[in-house]
Amino acid sequence: MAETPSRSIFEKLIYLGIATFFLWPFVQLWSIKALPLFETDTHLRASVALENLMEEALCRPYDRASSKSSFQPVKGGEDINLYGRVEVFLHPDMPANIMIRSTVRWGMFPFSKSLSLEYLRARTRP
Amino acid sequence: MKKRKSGITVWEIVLFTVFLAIAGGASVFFFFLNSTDVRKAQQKYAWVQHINSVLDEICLEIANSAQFEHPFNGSSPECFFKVAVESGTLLPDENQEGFSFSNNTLVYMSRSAAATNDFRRLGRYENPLITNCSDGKFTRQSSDQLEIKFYANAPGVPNSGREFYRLVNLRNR
Repeated sequence: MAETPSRSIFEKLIYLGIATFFLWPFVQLWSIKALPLFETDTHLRASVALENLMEEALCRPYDRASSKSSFQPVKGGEDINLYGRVEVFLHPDMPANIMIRSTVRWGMFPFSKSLSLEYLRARTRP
Repeated sequence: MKKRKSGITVWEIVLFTVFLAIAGGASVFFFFLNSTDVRKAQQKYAWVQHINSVLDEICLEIANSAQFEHPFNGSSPECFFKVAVESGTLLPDENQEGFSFSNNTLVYMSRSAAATNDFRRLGRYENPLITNCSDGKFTRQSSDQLEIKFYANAPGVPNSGREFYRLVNLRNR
């Protein structure tokens, strides 16, 4: 069998560059967490669910203790496995304020995505 | 003396095939992008997004009202509230503003002791804000929570409606 000449480091770099050139758009799609053509509607639904979750959390009276809840299924989002969670905790830098953070999560494990929204409130209501 | 292999190697054939496959897949994908299905999906998405941004504006208006008046409890196809006067305080205005589901549209209107008028526009959205909607109602869930719910049909596409649902925290009650 004839010995194939091994590629030089320069050639390997060129291959890497070509591969990156082709794959870079897909990497960017991963960073925005959505394929614009197929998943924008899912994204929009998740963001509306997120807003609803936050507004509902703002309506509830809150206590001073921080509470960490687990993800609960969101009504109406069963087909995309939409789960939501609301956390209430003291702001780490400003202890006079509390932070309310709502998070929604959807999709299956390796491709699951999440959005979160935070709201800063005074601890005593006016 | 070692004889170097001349001509095309296996490595280059593999690379060429991979690039050919990518190019072929990309061209099929671009044809798919031009198809009618995709256009329809994009139109529907634009429609849903428009309604959602109108709803965002409406929720902002209701949430920041100085005094919420109309569905005191239960549900109603219309809601009314008093916005704050422009004095820097939270004193309510004497006229009421509101939204109403009527004749399959959602309109923004004002109501005073003398008359009820439709506004020309809400922010950047023309009145009627939403057309082709049905079963719309505002439900007062609690003293500081209002729910907006309606069903809207996409223009020109039968049986492709969607239910829209929002919760509003009335900041000033």
